Amino acid sequence: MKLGNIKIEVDGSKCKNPMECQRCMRICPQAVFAAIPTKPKKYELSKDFSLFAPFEAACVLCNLCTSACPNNAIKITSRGGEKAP
Amino acid sequence: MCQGSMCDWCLKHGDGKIWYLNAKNYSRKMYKERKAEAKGGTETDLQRTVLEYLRNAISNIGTEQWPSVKRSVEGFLHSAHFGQVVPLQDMEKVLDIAWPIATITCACRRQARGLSDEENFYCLGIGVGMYKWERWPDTYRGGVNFISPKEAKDFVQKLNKKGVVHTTWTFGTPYIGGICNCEYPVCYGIRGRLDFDLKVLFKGHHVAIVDPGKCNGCKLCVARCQFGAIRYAPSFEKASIDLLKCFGCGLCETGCARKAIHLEPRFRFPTLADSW
Repeated sequence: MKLGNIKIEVDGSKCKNPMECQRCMRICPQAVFAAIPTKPKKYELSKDFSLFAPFEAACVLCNLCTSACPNNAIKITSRGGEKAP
Repeated sequence: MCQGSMCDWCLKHGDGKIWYLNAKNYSRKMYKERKAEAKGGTETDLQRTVLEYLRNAISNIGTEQWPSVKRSVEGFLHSAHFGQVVPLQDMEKVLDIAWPIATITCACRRQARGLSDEENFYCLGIGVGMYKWERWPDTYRGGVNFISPKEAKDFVQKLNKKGVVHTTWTFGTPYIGGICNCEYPVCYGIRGRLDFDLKVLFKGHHVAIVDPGKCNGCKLCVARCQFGAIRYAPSFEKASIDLLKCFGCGLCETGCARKAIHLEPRFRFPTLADSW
């Protein structure tokens, strides 16, 4: 699996409160993840955040995130489709 | 008379000075002009538009479309929201021009690391736009805390000791609406620039020079550089700075116990004078 061919999917139904859990965001050495408001609305404080991996190109497959996630919400595959080691 | 080197922004918006020291770019008049022109309008809209641009951009990295996507993203950012590195000495001058000044939470750190509001006051919102933040605190997490110029200088000095890069940001170029204190990789400005060569953050007007006579090879400066420009050279037992990578933030200078590093204006070096 080459660097840059990695696809990281976060299951929104399993990752409900990324801003409170924060485990993957804090532990990732490459700062791959970001949590942004699911439905940003002007003048309203968002309470619902969605986690995604904008920098999956920087992922080195250390798997610290999958180990840290209590809900198994992170799935790492290659663009071809095989599962990450 | 210009005191330092001139980047494109100085030429366009400096009126003979370094552009971020030109009071015109902090004025209420400039804020109103830019707000009327900008399609986004408000700061939240801008943040959301920038995010969407970045999201689209990043999904194109490595594809054939990347060069043209990169150009279009940079074009948008240069007119809407970009930053430039400012060393501490200049940042203190900026804080004498900007008004009002408020501490606010950092959007980059919140998104990338999930920092809670209490531990996330790393940025300074400046200018009349801050009054809107005060009226609608729910839009801007953590709210705004107005402070005096002296308190603001203490704020950046403390953060400088901690080791963060001071940057100035436009909100509708050339209106300067924010000051951030950045680090790699959580700051999307530094990250975008270093990892994706996205010109969202520009180098500062200086580069750092080591005086080998004073340097004793303690390596304190090496840890402070957020741009990977300074390394320890074992053969000489001294710090060595790659001037092509140096952004002129001055963290090495402020961190050096022996005052062995100083910032030199970028224009003094012909190859670097245009390297922004």
